[in-house]
Amino acid sequence: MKLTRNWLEDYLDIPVNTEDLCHQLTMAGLEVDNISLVNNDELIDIDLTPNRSDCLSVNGVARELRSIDKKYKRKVLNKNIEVDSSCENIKINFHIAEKEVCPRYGFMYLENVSSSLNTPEQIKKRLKSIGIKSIHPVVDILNYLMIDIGNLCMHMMLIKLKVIFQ
Amino acid sequence: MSGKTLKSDLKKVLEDASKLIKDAKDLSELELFRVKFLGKKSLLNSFMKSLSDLDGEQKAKAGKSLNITKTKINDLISEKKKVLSNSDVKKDDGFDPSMPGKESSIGSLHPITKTMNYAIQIFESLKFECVEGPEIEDDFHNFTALNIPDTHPARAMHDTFYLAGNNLLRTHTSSVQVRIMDKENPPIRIIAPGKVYRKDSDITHTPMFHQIEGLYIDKDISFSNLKSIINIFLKSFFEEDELKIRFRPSYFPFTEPSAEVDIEYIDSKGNKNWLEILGCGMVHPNVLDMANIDSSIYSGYAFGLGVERLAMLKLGITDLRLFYENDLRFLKQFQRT
Repeated sequence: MKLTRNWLEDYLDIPVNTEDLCHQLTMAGLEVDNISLVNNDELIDIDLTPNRSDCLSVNGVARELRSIDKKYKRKVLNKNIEVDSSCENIKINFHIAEKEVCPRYGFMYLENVSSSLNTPEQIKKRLKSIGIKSIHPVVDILNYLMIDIGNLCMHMMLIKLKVIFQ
Repeated sequence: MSGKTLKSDLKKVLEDASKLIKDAKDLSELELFRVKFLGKKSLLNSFMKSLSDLDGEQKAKAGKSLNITKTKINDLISEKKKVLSNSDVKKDDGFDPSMPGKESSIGSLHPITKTMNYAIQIFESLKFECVEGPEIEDDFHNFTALNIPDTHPARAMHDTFYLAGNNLLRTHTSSVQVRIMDKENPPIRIIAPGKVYRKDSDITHTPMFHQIEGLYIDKDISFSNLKSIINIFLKSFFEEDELKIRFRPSYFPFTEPSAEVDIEYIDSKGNKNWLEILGCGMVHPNVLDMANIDSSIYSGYAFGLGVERLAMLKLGITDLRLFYENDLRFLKQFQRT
């Protein structure tokens, strides 16, 4: 798991330098392999053991740090997300074959994604510093969310799917 | 000269000749005998000359037996000549008894073997019994019995060499502890040194390397027992009482809780650093239960040491691959350590 200090500061107040932070992570079981400077930010490389998939995201590491030491204060995320009122709810019947493995399935349907769209610079920069290439705004955002909150999302091209809407 | 006396005379000549020729010591002596028995003044020659006194049938008969005797003696001489000349070549091969002797070079134990023996010696003095297990393992002993079921993500950590059937090259010596737990009842106190294999090759990894596995199962075993054994071992191995050791939480599927052990060392720039040296932990109850050991009565600890890492630290070697290049210039430096 790779993340940067700057990214982690989205979630936490970090009152110590990165080395002390990494020492605390290491002694809590999230062994930090390496700290390096990338794009004026400190890249933290955690050698995660397979029992800690909960820390496969910036949010997860922040949660862990908060539980290690109270001096890491959780920031209140105050983001107003506006939903365009023109968005429609589409109802499709999905059949989930393995309820135990996948208890819930959600999807979103995007139309008219312009080919001239660009990924926001902030997202591009963060992905680049942890070694992920920018490909396409949709892919980039999904990758960013995966690293940020730890939820894996897939994108699919509608024309290549055999699902028939309505 | 009658035929009968000739015959007995010839017999005697042949007997004498074969006796003398057999005992001849060197080529010159043999030459003397040749002259004596076949030369112009020899008995045989005088018989030949007297042949002319005989007539017809008798002459032919006597001549024939004379010739036979002559050939026999000739054969004996040439045979002996061969033997003597052969041994003469040997005598003349330039052997000089005053030369100092050649020292036959004796091989020495590989530094890895030496390190391993040294570690085993320490554990044996702590009353651990040394056992061995097969290098070709089955999936069950290498993974399943160690609480790593088929779908467990920890299997990905191991870079396994799979073989035909359900077999594989063992990825850790922990598989030996499963076999011992199957066979024996607690208390169990063993170490299992040996080769292990992983599909990995770079500056700090070789596809084959060595581990020493330790296991102790008994009533009332706790993490503090583990800590003290590791402390005693590392301090006596590095022969340093002030060695700084730290236990860092980690994860192995077959132990709970698990820890990795680091020791402090000072690098070439004078900075203090921690270096991971072994993994250990309390044996997971699932592993005990799978081996039919009652986990409500017994508990235990296990640890695994990387022998190469120990050898590198102990002998001050920086590149792991040197161990396996079989360069005599490298190996000879450890003949006396």
